[in-house]
Amino acid sequence: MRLNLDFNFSCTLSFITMNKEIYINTISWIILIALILASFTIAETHNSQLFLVIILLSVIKFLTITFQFVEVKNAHFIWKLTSILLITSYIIGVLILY
Amino acid sequence: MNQNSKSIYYPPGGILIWFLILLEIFTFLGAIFVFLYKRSAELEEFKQAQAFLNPLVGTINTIVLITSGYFMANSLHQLKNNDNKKSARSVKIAIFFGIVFLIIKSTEFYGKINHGIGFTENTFFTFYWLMTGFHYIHVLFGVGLLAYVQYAISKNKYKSTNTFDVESSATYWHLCDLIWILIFPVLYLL
Repeated sequence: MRLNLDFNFSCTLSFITMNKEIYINTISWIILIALILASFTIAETHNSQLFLVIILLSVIKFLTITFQFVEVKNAHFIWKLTSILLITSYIIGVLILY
Repeated sequence: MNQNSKSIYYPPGGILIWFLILLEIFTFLGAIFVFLYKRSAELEEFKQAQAFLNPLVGTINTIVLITSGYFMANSLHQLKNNDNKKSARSVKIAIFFGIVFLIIKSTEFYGKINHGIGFTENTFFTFYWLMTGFHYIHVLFGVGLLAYVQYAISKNKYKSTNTFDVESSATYWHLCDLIWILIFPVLYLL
């Protein structure tokens, strides 16, 4: 009986966690779509001064996918740092070479 | 996320897929940096060539790929909750959007070829074909991988206690998103 209650509790907890994660995924997805559309709108102004904004939006998109969809947020610190360093090298490279 | 996820040796999807991610992103970063270096040297030529690309199509394709990644991320949570039916359905939707991406990209490639814009047209298009073509192959492989994962989930080969392969495949699929997020603004928007 106790085992059954524990199992039910564990299943309920797992269900709540899953729904919470899918809810956060959905919010992240909406944010990503908004950022993609914002990048397009900014690019359509043909103002080359705004390239930095487009790149910064890409950085936010990259980190959202990595931390939420790939679940780096739950990984060891070194993998979070690796993701941040990768995207930092992208920004630095673009800023120097653009 | 498996129980050892906080360990340095067990990043999401396993350490090997992360070596692949690092290798792939470094490769694409190298290509992006050389592209930008060449762009600064041949700015007018690059701007003229870029005018042949349609940023709206690129934007739609980005939304399609991100949506696919969203469904793949959800499928993993559904599998971990023992809901194989919903998980398999989510992977199926992810595959659908992956195929839509490939169709849109193929149409774009076909249009370029029809206009006689090939690999050796100019420096811009050499990089365009290299980067988007290489990414296309990744997505093509990913669709095949997800098709297998979908089949295996629907046949209950994977369960909440055995999600490692699905997690690795999902991580690979997100790699395709990440690469596209990096190359899309550089090729289409800047």
